[in-house]
Amino acid sequence: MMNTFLKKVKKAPWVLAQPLTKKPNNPQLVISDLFVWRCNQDWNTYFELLDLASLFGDEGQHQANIVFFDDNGEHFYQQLIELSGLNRQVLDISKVLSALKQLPSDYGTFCIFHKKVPNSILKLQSFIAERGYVSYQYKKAPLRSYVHGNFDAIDSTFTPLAGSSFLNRKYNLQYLFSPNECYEIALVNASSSNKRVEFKIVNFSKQVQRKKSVVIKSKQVFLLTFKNLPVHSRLIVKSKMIMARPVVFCFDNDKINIFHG
Amino acid sequence: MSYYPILTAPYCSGKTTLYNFSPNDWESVDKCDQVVSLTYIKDGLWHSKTIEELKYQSYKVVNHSDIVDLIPDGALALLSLSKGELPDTSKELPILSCNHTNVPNYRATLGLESASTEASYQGEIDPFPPQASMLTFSPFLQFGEDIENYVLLMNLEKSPENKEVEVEVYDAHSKELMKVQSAFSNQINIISLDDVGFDEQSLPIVVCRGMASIPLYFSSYKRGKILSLEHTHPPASLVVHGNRFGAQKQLKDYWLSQLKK
Repeated sequence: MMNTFLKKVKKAPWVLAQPLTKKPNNPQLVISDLFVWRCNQDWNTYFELLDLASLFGDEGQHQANIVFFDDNGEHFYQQLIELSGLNRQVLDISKVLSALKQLPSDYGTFCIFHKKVPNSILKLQSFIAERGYVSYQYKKAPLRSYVHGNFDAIDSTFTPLAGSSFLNRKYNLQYLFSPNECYEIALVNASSSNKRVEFKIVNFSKQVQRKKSVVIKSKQVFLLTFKNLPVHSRLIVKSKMIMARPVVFCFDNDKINIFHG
Repeated sequence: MSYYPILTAPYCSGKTTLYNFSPNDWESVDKCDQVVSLTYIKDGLWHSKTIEELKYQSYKVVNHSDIVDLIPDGALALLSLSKGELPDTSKELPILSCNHTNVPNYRATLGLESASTEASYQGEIDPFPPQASMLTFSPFLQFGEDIENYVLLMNLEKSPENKEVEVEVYDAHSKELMKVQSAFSNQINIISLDDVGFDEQSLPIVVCRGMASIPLYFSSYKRGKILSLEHTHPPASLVVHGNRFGAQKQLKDYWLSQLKK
């Protein structure tokens, strides 16, 4: 009992008033993850747009708003999309963005806000959340690589929902980085304030192989690129993000393996 | 008490990487060496074998080829980390004495390796209650010459048996039953989605009324030259806050009543 009490006391500075994500203050709002988009001669991004209201049995025509932020986290485009009910609807992000003459960057973040909230969800005091599935196509490969969303990152007033830590904390990615491969680590700041982030690649003898410190703005994604590690290594991300969980892009020549950290 | 399976899929061999370090620096864990065990079903009992003692702050890669001679043909291979050795045999899946965190959970890298490439995700599996069911919306099918699509249903239950259940595959729009196939508990069940008649507009729904499982979607190009692997979320992830599991129940009740064999 004393042991449990001491554990709780020890944990208090890390959890008190520091939620992983905040609840929107209006029950009518909807939530989305901040997904990473990449569009250039090598990359395209796709999104599996499910009609969430139809899945909950709400009949009728529904819409969703897709909202884009550039590589600085600045809003630059949004479009209302008519949903396809219970048919599959794959958004080709480069086609969505082809309405623009020029893109402000070749990567950034985007979110999807469903317009219709089923009444049954309001009654449960829950919020509809788009945390679905993005796929990436690299160098026009015949197969795309899928990665799921996982975070209630932003609400439909564009207010970021991730909490912030009082103290710096480490996210130790449980993944083995190999010497033979190239990597890009994509980390999104889903909080409302700038975050100073230190990335450290260390080997299993605790020697630092790579180190990079950056400030990531709200709604911004930072891409850390590295290759030619001398030995197998791991990643430590230090910041005041509660959970600095990145998306990992692993390259084996023209083949990619993409996953949530 | 998570286990880490060694995956299996067409044209591929499973490879699981375990990590004996915490995914964060603020949730209390024991900084100790841990036992890597292999657990599987044989003759109606769970059997466990110690693979090695894993030093604190280190990792262990286990390939399917490393353990294939230690387990019966086709048995689900489960790896684990624990502070002590597991019983040689048991009538219930051993409860692991191991470190645990919540933000995020301890994970392993669950990979599939072909002759040309590999795909992975960060995962774990905990035993499902035997009376649970599964419903998943599956927008992951990819189309084109030489592309194959599979759902891999991964189940783990405490009882050391391979109970047989039926998996039903429907089209969400027409609600038409497209395929029925047997599956087994404590297995990775490989179900082809190519012989079903789905096209690019089809949103498949995979239902199992007699067993829960983690649905992994696996696509292969030219018999493993390129791979794609990702899992879907449980329906509760479509909402956040409030009574999420009420929303999941509502969604499952709605679809299980709509989808009739």
